[in-house]
Amino acid sequence: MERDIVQEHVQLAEKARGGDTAAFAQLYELYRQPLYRTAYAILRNPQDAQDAVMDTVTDAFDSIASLRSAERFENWLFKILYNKARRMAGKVKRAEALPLLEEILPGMPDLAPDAVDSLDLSRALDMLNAQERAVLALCVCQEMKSADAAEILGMNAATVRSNQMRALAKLRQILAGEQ
Amino acid sequence: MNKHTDNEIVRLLKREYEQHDAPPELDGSSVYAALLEHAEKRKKRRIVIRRLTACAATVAVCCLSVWAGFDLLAPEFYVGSKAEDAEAGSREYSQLYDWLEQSTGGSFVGEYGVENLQGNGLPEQGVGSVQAEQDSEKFPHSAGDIVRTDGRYTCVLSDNTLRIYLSTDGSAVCAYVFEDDIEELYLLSGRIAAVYSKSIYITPEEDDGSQHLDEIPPARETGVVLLQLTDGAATLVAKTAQSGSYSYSYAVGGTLFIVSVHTVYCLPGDAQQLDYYVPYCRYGAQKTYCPAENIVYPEGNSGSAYAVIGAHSAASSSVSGLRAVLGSGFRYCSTEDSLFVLSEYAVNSDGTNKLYTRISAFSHMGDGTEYRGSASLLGRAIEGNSLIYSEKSLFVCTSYTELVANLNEQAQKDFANSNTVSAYAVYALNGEDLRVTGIITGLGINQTVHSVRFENSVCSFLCSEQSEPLFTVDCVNPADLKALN
Repeated sequence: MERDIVQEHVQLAEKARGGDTAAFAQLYELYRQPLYRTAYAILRNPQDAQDAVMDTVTDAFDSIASLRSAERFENWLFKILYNKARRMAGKVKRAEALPLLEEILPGMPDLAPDAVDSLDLSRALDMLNAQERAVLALCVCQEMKSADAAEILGMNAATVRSNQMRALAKLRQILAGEQ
Repeated sequence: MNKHTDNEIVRLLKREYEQHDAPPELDGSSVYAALLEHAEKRKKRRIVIRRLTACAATVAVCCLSVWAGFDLLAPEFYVGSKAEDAEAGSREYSQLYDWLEQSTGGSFVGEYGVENLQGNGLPEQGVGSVQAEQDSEKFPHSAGDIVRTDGRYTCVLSDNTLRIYLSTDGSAVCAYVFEDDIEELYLLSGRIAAVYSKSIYITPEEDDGSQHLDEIPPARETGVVLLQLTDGAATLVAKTAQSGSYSYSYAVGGTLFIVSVHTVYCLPGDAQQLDYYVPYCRYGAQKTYCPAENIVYPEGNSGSAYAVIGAHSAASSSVSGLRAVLGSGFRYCSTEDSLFVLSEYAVNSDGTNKLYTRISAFSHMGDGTEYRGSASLLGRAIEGNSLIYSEKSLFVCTSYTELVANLNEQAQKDFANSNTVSAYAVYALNGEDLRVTGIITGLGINQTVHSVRFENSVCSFLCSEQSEPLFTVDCVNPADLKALN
């Protein structure tokens, strides 16, 4: 089944390379959610994530004829997204220090333990850099192979794996209050 | 704070990731409409850019021509056979662009930026170090080195280091270290001309993310380092270059003609593009693009690579007369007054691809070349020696695929088990206008030919296993080619 899906994506990418706009739109529909979620995971801002996705789609639409192989469409698309997000992340300055969780919690209604975890995690993710967040989004959330993530991030697979371990360790430390 | 295990963190990460859905502004129909609007705008913008680029390129060419002191070549833009083509006389890159787009079935959709005409897109090549050297060993060289002599000096190139010796007694004069890989060496008009080829990379530091480094190959450039021997030292006189990978070179008088292969790439809209699209020549830092008028677009050719022909003068230290012909899979043949360029293209007929060879002919004209015309032959040239110029005739040996049904009755019986067979042909063309004067086909059916030799007007087809030719063709009379055995 999975192979059929991959084959369908490749066929659509092949058509899109040949200038079929409808095929490109179909492909976009298939990748819309992962694109946005990855952009959000890197940029941590809905508006920035939306802009990054829109820029990515426009760029990909403009240059899909240059794609050397339809099989590489997914990596190619996410590579464009990562480049866009990386540049946007460089421009965004965290103007204000985030409030400590302990300062927020007393004023909030009773929260489920998972919700507390979510808030903790959200705050912890804000403390990672864009590259670390990208590694986690691709390798952990999307369960991509490290070789594919490496192609997207422009590093080798071993570096991706060590970055993933480091980012997880950093999250663990932040969540434990050690940073 | 709680201690979390990695598994818990992964679970939380996935949940966090999945709870952020794309907003309605990014739904498929909205984006599809936006893309269609964007495509329309892009189309209009491309037309404007093409017009601006064509104007700017013309101005740049005129300025450089006046500065360099050579006349502009007669502007012509050839498509197909020069005599028959109704399109000759078109003079804009935009038209070439359209032809290119048609040729590649629409897969070429690159744009290009006017800013590239500034000529500052490429790093200037460094200067090699010059050093005097006394070497007691006379003419030392090993296999793979290039050795050239003009009677007075003997030049030995090894590992991109040129050592110059006096031919009379073999004593060392000096040495020169080149920065780039040297492909060929010439002694012209008392000067040394070294042909180099190199890749030009966009470094990661120069890339702001918009250059799509992994998507585009490095640009290739071929050039000439011109050295003068004075007072026992080799000094740099000039550097000239043209775009593309080194392919072929030959000297006529004091002019070195270089053929390079310039591959056209479709790049993302925000990357530098003109260098990847239009061939250029360069004198020092001064770059000029090949006028669209000087680009030949043979009818029927597909692919997106040009054979770029530049004339590098050793006497005047200049590069001029840049011309390009679209096609791929090049072979060449040069004479004192002509250059013949071969390219291949396929035509789909009845569901099968038939390969054709296109020959374009250029005449040497002063410091440049002039396009004479082209011819198309069925099949592909066998190897480098399968293109021979002799007694004002051009002989081309090709291999091709033939339907068994088209063979004679005996051959149909012999190859009844196959639908197609491979065969060889020899064409004789008038060297002036490339008119086919003689042809012989159906040679060596289903045999494997390794190489072709041409001697005393006899063309011999050889295989690798035996020294005796498989078959020979008498080419004494180009209008009447005869199979000898």
